[in-house]
Amino acid sequence: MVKYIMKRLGMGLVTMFFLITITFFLTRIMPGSPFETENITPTMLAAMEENYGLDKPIDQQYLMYIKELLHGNLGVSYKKTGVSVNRLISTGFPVTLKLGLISFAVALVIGIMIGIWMSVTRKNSVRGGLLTASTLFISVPNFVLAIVLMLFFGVKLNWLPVLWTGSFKSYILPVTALAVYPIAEISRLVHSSFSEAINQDFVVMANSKGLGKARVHLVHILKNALIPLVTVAGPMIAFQITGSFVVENIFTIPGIGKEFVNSVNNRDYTVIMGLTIFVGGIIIIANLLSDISCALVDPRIKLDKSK
Amino acid sequence: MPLLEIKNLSVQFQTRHGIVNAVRDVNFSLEKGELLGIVGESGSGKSVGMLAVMGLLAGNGRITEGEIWFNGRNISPVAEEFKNDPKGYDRYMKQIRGKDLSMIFQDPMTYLNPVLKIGTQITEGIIKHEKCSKQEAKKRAIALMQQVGIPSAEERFSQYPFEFSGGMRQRIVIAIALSCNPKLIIADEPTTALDVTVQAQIIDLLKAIVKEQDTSIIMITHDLGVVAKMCNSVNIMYAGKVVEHGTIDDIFYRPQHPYTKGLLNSVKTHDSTKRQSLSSIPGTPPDLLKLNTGCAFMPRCREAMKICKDYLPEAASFGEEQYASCWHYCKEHADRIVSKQSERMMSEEVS
Ligand SMILES: Nc1ncnc2c1ncn2[C@@H]1O[C@H](COP(=O)(O)OP(=O)(O)OP(=O)(O)O)[C@@H](O)[C@H]1O
Ligand code: SF4
Ligand SMILES: [Mg+2]
Repeated sequence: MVKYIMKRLGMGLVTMFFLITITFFLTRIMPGSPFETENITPTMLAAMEENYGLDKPIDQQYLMYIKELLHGNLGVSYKKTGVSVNRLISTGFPVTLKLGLISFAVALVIGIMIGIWMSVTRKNSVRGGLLTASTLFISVPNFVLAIVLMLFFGVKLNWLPVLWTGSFKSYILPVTALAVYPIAEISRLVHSSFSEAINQDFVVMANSKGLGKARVHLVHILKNALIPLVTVAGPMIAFQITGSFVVENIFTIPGIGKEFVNSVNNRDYTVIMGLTIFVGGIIIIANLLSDISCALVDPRIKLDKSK
Repeated sequence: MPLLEIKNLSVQFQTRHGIVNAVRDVNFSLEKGELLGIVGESGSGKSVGMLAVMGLLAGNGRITEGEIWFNGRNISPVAEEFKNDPKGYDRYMKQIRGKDLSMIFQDPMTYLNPVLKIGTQITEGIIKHEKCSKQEAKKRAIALMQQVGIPSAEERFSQYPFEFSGGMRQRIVIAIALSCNPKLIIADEPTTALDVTVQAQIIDLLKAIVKEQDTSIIMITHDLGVVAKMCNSVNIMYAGKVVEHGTIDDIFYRPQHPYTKGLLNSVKTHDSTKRQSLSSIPGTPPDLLKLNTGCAFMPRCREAMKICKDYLPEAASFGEEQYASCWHYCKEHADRIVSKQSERMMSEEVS
């Protein structure tokens, strides 16, 4: 197990290295300079570039960047004078993380319940309706939903705040917008694995012991049905955190999503890179964690991989 | 009073291709302490009949008719008491399943839950039925594991099924079936998935259990050798019917039904080192969707007569226990039987 984790971590580092290198060179290839504005003189531009080391040959810039990175320093923003990227992340990320985790937790609970409901209901109309709804919601992007929710509950009915205040109420719309897709995804997944598990022999055996329905469904079947969910949970959480960028912008939530979108518009190289590396790291770690949790849920995996 | 008495039991499955009558008008009984074997080819309704007794038929199956008297009570879902009260039936079956009535399944690979610890799977039934604490249940589970011959039971208590060999898993399944001292254990081919030496051990184990505890066993098997080693009496099944019943001696020395005779011949003519197989009777098992109205064995029967195709023979007795359903033994009553069946067919057609 430890060996397996080390191996995966090593692979993660290699992936990170490629990610860093590619984004570094891509941002440099991007046309235009971060300091280019309409009323800047060529001398001022040159001075600014020199100040930030942008006049040096590109390979030197790269080496410098890597060196700083190894010290945990993601550099300073070109646009927000004096603000470091580390600082942007440490103020913005907690907000993004909280939003992502809340929406995932909500999606997990509701998705599992709907998935079980779809599997055990005897009414074909209920099952069909839920399946259709989930297919529909899987294909609706979260920012579209965010706008619709905002217009309806925020503007038209005026029930919930449109702008971010940090209060419980202002969480409701963005969390809903973010949770609907994973609810649809999770409920479909649980439905298919639950319906498969319900026909397995071990269910007959569990029933032959005279166990109650709750125990058979929630212990015997659900535990098996959740295994496929655990395998996708890590990437899903990563998606919940990283996929909220546009939604953050719509609701003016001060997370890293907003910074990301701004930085791309402003060609703020260091911020783009810093956030890309950070988000890449999250995705890699989430994948690793989900593999480890698979091994914890499904005892058979441990053996296979330690060999 | 017998421990289990089954009267006119019929089971149907609804399938895409039509209705399958998997068990057709089965009758037999079992005394306390008896070891009954049920033998027949694949698809003859052995498992379905017993699952029906347990109330564990698949969703598309149902008991259409019949009484299942167990321990003095009719536990058929179509019994007077339960036919308008499916919830009451469910409740009652949950009380006795795993307690008075338990089942050992064929394939210990698929019948144990892969993601639950062995200990959990043994104790959950004990906790449910004996209303005891977890610690108490664990103590009993470890004792059971030792009883069925699992070494270092204490350690293995917290292992998962995949950490056990096939034979050990079957012992676990047996331990689970035994856990609440059932009055009747139904063992559905408990040795088929195991290799020969393990088979013998499991059979010895089951025999020891019957001796030590006051338990009856119904043993479903393909293997007449297993029956000879274990059972007191046998049901021979063909196409959903019990075509012959008798003691071990009756069946092995005085078989009456042509199908039973065929089975015995196929065993005898086989090289004894090879696995004995029942399918060596010429012809193929019947398609339950296309049965004739008469004796289902007719297409393969060497002694078939004209009457066999359209009319069902009735059971004829031989001695105290043995009976067989074949036209050879009820020819004298042919007129009565034929007119009874024609009447029924006509009234069914009308309705
Ligand atoms: N859920 C089901 N739906 C439809 N048909 C079924 C179902 N279960 C069993 N059957 C049919 O019922 C018949 C009897 O099956 P059963 O499992 O009792 O056979 P068996 O005698 O136990 O055979 P085997 O020795 O292979 O276990 C078979 O023809 C089978 O195809
Ligand atoms: S009834 Fe006829 S077909 Fe059936 S076993 Fe007897 S002789 Fe053979
Ligand atoms: Mg069977």
